[in-house]
Amino acid sequence: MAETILHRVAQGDITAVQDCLNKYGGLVWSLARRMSANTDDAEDAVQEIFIDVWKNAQRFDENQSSETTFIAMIARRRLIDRLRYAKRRISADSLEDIVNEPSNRADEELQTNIEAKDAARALNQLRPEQRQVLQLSIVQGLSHQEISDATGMPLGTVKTHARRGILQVREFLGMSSIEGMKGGTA
Amino acid sequence: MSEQEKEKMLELLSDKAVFGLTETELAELAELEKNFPEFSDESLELTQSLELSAATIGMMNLDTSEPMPAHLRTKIASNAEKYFALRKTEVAVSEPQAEKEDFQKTFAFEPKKSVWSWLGWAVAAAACMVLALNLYTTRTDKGDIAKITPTPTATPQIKLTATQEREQLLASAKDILRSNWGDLDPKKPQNMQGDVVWSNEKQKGFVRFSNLPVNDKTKETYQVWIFDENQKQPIDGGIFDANEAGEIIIPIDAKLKVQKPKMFAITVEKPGGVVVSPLEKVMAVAKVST
Repeated sequence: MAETILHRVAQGDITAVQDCLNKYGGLVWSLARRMSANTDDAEDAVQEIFIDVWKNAQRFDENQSSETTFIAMIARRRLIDRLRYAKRRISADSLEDIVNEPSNRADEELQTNIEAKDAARALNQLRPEQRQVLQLSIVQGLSHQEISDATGMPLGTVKTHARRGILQVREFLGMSSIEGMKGGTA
Repeated sequence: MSEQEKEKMLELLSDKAVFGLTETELAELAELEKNFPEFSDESLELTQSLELSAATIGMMNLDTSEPMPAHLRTKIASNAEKYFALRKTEVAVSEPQAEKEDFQKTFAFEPKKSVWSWLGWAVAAAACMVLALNLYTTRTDKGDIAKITPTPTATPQIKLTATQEREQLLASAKDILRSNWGDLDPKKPQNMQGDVVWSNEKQKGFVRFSNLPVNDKTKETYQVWIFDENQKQPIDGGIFDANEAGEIIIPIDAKLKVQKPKMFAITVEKPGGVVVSPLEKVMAVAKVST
């Protein structure tokens, strides 16, 4: 089996850095642009994310996920941290726009990677409220409170939908290997 | 761990993956993990699987066609070089102590107390004085220096490609409008893809296409149009030809100041283009979302 880019990074192979940037630079940049307040923030975030990628490369397990998903996970962790610290707040107007945005946008055809298609299929298995909460939180980056304000759902309900939804998605994507703490997903 | 504690832990781990945790919630999770170390492996694995699930959803509706700006890429590559060099040093520093001691023992320098060592220094000092004297007597005077100073040469102007110029615009403009092209006639799918980017502030933009049919230059040309809310007629954005298969990037050459663009279009016109288009043969449109 060919050696993955992340395994080469973990071994300190500096040539793997360029390969990693070629293959995943666009993904990380797009995630950062979507979850950052402006271009400067996005640039700072991307630099931090790639340092995290170099640091965590040795943790990558190809039996658990693809490299793409692993790198997207590292990117999300960093971007969430930055969002939390920045205490970003979205205005009520833009919230309304986001909530009213149709879930199947025209740029769906741009979802060329298999992970995004899997995610779309997984989300379609969920109840509409669960799907809405996960889309608003993960794709649009809204907090519990912001989702509650925007949709009129009580805060506790938002949390429940998020939890049950993500657990179901995990099951659907075949990422659940733990029985002990699975909890209810109905 | 009680059912209630399990439930709380699951809630915190799900929240961590979906929303991220506050300082208080992180402390709460750490406390639970500390009290129930037997679940720490399980918790770690569950956290990762939930985060991977969230990351998968996070890739939905993600347009990854915009490349990372070139200057950022250079910075990251340079950071990586420093990071890997530092990591190498850290590995070297953490070599076994015994090995280091052996090295030090083998190469330890005994202090020399012999008079010959002082003689060495004296010879070196004398050599320095001779060198200084030589420099003083043979130095070129300022007039001579002025004569031999090379004439400064002009820095060569590097001509950027359209791709590089587009990347530069994306990296520098703060008001980038961007929209994807859509085929107008779904009955004739041409698998045409691409986008348009525009900055009002810089009055600069680019159209990008892949699979745009190659045109017969002797008979027709492509022309870019910008529909502006403040203009009755669409603004001419310049003409171009598609000569090659693959991706083409063309700078927009707006003939009037663009104020509030709401749509871009590509039409097929006669060679040389037209001032006002009948909009009979529209190849693609890109609506600007407001």
